[in-house]
Amino acid sequence: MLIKIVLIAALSIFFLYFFGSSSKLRARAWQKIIILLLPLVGIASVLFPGLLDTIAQALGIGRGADLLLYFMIVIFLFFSARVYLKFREVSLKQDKIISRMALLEKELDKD
Amino acid sequence: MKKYPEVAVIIPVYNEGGFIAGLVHELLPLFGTVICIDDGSGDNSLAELRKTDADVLSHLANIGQGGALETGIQYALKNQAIKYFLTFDADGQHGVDDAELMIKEMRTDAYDIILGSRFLKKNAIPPAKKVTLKLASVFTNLTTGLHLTDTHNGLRIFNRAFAEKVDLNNFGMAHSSEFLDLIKRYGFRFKEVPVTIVYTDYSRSKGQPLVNSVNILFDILFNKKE
Repeated sequence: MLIKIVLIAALSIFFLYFFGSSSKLRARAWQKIIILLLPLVGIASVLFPGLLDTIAQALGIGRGADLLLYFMIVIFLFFSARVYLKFREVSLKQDKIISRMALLEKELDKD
Repeated sequence: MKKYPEVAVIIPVYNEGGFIAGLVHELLPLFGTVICIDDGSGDNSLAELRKTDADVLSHLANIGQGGALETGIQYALKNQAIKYFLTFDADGQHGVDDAELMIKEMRTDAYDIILGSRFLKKNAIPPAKKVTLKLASVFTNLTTGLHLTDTHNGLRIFNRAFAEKVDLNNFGMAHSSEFLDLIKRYGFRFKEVPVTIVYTDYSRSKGQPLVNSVNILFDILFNKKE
């Protein structure tokens, strides 16, 4: 049951992240935290095979594998959003460069 | 002596090679400058434009009508003789008569920007397009708080004060909303006038696919982010 709260919270955060004005520094900081934690959790679950199952049951899910799956889905959503936003940002910058270039070339033509 | 020497016509051009030279020749005798921006056309648009006496700028790749307008407006602003900036579509949907009426209104100095509306007079509009545009109008009116009948019309004219505030950072089709956003933000005086939109088979084939409305909607939503 707890998992429901966790998932809803995570997805809400995702939604806000995507549609809200995200502080880039904060986002990057969180990303670094997650990237640091992930291998640690991975190593821990390898060293202690029952670990994921224990956590899963605490949250109200049957198996550790299911927990992993939900977790992966949420991470995937964040990752996709990140990629999309970055792509858009780069695209807009490129558009500006193309526009400025057109103006500059026109300036040069005049000489 | 040209009829409207203080007016710059700004025309974004994308794959209009067969048509654009004719339009330019029609406009050149009337207006101070005719500025055409080739937005990375794949056809012979650029070559055709260079044959004319229009001021031609060229994007090395396609960035969208908003981007082309931005380039054109920035270029037009450099010419201090220009008082009014008229955006005009390259595909034959707009008429010079309507433009002339809009200039007349601008010359009274009662408005900063005048927008054309195809819904203020009788126009033959394909039903699907009509519905989409009306929905877009409703949505844009909700987000901007303005009340316009046609929020996505490419025929508009504005003065220097307005032009200097233009910064179409949302290159793409949502730029129409960007203009309205400016009106709201700076309190520019505006008016809509009825214009005729001609939907020929040619312009119909060039028109936006309705599916693109989803993209535009998304762009408008994300606009607040930038």
